[in-house]
Amino acid sequence: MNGQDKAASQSRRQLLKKGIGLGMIATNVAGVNVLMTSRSAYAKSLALKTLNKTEAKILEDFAETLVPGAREAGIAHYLDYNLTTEPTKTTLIASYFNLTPPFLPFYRGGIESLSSYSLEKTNKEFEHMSQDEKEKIISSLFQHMSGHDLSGWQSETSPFLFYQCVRSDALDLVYGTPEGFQKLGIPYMEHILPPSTW
Amino acid sequence: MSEAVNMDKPEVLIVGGGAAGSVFAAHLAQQDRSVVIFEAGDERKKEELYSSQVWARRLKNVEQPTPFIADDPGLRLNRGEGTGGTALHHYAIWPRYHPEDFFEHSQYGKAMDWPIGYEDLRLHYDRIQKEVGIAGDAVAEKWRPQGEPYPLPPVLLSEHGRTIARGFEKLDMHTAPLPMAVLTRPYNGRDACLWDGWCDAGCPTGALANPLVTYLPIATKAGAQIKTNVRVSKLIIDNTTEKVLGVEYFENGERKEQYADLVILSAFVVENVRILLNSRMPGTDYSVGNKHDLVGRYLMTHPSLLFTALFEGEDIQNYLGTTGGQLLCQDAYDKIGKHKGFGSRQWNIAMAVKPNDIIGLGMSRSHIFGKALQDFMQKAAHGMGNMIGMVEDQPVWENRIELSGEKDANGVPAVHTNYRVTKDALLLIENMRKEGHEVLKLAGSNDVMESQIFSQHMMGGTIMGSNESNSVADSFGRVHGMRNLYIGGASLFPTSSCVNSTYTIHALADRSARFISKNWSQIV
Repeated sequence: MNGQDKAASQSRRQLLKKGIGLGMIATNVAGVNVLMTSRSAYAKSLALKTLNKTEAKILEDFAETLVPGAREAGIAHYLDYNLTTEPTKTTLIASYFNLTPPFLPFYRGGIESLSSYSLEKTNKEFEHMSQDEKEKIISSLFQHMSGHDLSGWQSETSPFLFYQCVRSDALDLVYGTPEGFQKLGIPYMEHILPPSTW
Repeated sequence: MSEAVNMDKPEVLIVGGGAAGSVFAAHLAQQDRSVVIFEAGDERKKEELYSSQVWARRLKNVEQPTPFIADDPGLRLNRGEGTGGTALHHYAIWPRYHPEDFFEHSQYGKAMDWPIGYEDLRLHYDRIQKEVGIAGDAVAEKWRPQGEPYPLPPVLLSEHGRTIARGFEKLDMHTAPLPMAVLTRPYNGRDACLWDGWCDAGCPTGALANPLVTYLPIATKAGAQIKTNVRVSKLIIDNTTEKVLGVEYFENGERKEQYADLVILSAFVVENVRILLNSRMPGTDYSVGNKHDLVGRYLMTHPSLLFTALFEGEDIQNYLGTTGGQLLCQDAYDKIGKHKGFGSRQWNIAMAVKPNDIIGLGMSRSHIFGKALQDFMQKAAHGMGNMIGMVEDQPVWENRIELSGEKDANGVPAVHTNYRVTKDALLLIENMRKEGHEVLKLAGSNDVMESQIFSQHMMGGTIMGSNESNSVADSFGRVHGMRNLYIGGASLFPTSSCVNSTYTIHALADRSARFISKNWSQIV
């Protein structure tokens, strides 16, 4: 049997129907630590540890606009968990971009600046914009992020890296799972699925 | 040997359990030397190498991140801690250095000379490839230096590789199977690859040659012990002789000492440099090996461009294969060929790709978002091809790792890295930029994009050479001025070539380990 046949037959590794194991977070429910997916944590509206409600809303809106599906995949809960976990255990892509943990100030600065940038450009806060307005302000941000016309962006967080990191985090949750692969019609072909401990 | 190692004073202490350290440990333990490996990270187990690009990031996290002062985002990907080291998640692309890579200063008046030539390494390349199992086609790989043919047939060639190869053919360029330390059939008790593309996450099947399935098991079977989560901070040097007595290290925040007859630093480029810079030579104002301010100098990488090309309406099976790729092109290996800039160039073609992560589908078009991204992902999932162009870097004095003035959690001075891509490398990259677009358009794509320049692999910092005024170590990795202190790994490389470094790391370690065995009584 050649490689293609093996992949096609899926005899050894059935394509999973659900995205267990990926994006798992530890959270506290009624005083008991439990493990659940960030998707489940979002669905249950569980409290966040670090991000406040406004920050979470801006982050969700931003990620959802970049990668549809990110909100329900639990982007805010996933980041909230990873931003407080120890540096060697984080699964965030931020370290690939030369950022040094802790990453919370980076993300928090990006969230605040996205809001202030939007206000400066449109007299409207990002979280209060329509979907069309959000897309336009992100296009504007992308267009100007490497230049100097970024009045309103008030933190030290690089707008370019903030955009890249949140977009990548959202891609991880929406497409980097067996469920995400299935949406794209490609086989996951796992050897070992990630454990339910993260 | 089978007796327990005397931890009070083993004969050999190896710092770092990655590619070089594992080769040293296997050989010296098999020669009945008592061997201990000190590994800064966790114990890694094959059963924990999960199939996930997200999980894979944990393998690359290091406890003490090194600030990189650079215009380059790639350096952090090339590191890792834990048993197996960086090689645990390497892509297993194993071409050989070419003879001209060793004498660039003599032949071209550029860069530096190694104190050895290709012929000094050839038998070690041959031995390693037989032990590890490398897949390739020595005849088709017409640029390959002399050596034994590959023991295994080539890796999978899918429609992904065939499609892009047609573009090279139309430019009258040659491609050959990518030489890879990936098993294409069962070999030495290890299973063959299933072509699922999870190499970057660490291969749990044993098909890809990472140290967990190659030299670490040989070492431990021969009696070597591995101690994890211990971070070596500096060397303990005898006040009166040219000998190292052992190392200072930290375990759970507690400072400890470990003595040994011989110390081998194989803790990757950054930590090798850091340990030396933190180790003062008694009675001097310089650190070990640093009389001429050479420790940390000549840091090099492989500046690279990732090309992605959409072949709309096709299923090129881009999800099959290895993360490393399927095909190789070294037509531009000539140092002073038709291209601008000095140095060699290489294409690694048709890497198996996942939807997410740094070289994933989604990241290839970072300007796309929203509904357009959804549409793109559907097309790219089956129709996105890719290839990476790597070029040679130049060893320059200014590119270096140095003490940063800050301290880590244990109070040990930290390092930072100053690195800029060199002028020659930038010129070579321009050739790759032009060539990459041409190839992929001729292959049939109307949607070709290139990445920003990023760096793969780290080399240099403790380079080898003929004497202490031009280098930190000799050709066997022995630190100049020290009898029993050796270095292993890519930090020894005086030139970078354009080819992936892990195979040469293995060959050098094999050569040094055999030298140490043969000359043990003179060394310790």
